[in-house]
Amino acid sequence: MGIFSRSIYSGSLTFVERVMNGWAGVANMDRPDSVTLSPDGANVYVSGNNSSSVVVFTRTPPTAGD
Amino acid sequence: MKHVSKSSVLAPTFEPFEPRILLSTHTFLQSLQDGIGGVDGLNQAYSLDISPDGRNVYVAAYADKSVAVFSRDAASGLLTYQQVLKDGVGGVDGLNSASIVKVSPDGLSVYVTGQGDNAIAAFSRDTTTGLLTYRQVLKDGVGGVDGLYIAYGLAISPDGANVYVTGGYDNAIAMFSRNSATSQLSYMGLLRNGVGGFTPGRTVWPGRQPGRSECLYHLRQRRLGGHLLPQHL
Repeated sequence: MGIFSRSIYSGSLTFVERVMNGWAGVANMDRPDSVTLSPDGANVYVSGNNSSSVVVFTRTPPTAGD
Repeated sequence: MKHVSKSSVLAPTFEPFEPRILLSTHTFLQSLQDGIGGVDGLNQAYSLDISPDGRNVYVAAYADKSVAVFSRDAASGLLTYQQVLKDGVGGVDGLNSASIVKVSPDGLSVYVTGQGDNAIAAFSRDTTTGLLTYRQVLKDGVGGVDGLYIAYGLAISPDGANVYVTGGYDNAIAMFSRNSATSQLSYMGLLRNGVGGFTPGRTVWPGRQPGRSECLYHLRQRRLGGHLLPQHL
């Protein structure tokens, strides 16, 4: 799963990080097919087709800096 | 007199200062798998959606021919399995090769496309429990409905008044009006590739499907009636 920041002015995307099955404790996310965010922005949910699963992530809101 | 074009006045030369995003972390919290811990309805989980109130997550599973219901803990985000509805069980129909699931903006309905049934299935949603009740199936070639052959893409208008479904092998988008009280849909018509303004020779197929061409249309929804007007990009 690729994570991007979005410019609120131009809409352009900037790569931030990737979350991969088997890395950093991520499990059962084999062939992710769909992703959605909770309305409060606190969680990300991903469906895994090959792993027949739903994977839940906590999301830390972006931090702005200079 | 110096000429100043309208566009040069309106378009800013520089983008306003925007702080760079330095940190955005996503931490693995939980996974739920089909057949483990009593969870059912996730075999080849294909798509998911969350209710507008954030209390439930719904998953369409291709091989299970199902839609599964999970409750969501608002504080932790953790999911708990609640229910599964499967094609051919308890009168449920239209979920063969279930593909895309969407919750209506008002949270009262859930819709699922079934590629193998060439159909869209409608469910009403209990806003307290999140549980679903099967209401209706609309199939390609039945009761005058057209455009649902290999039904796949699914969208609900922001006002909740209309539902749109792409039929990959019909090269079409089928249009429906929605009754929010019953969650039932009524067929309105379709836009088919090569007919009435659609460019011939392209396949209407938003989303991924190996070996098939893709194109993008901007379809402007008329304010009255929910019909679509094609606008090529």
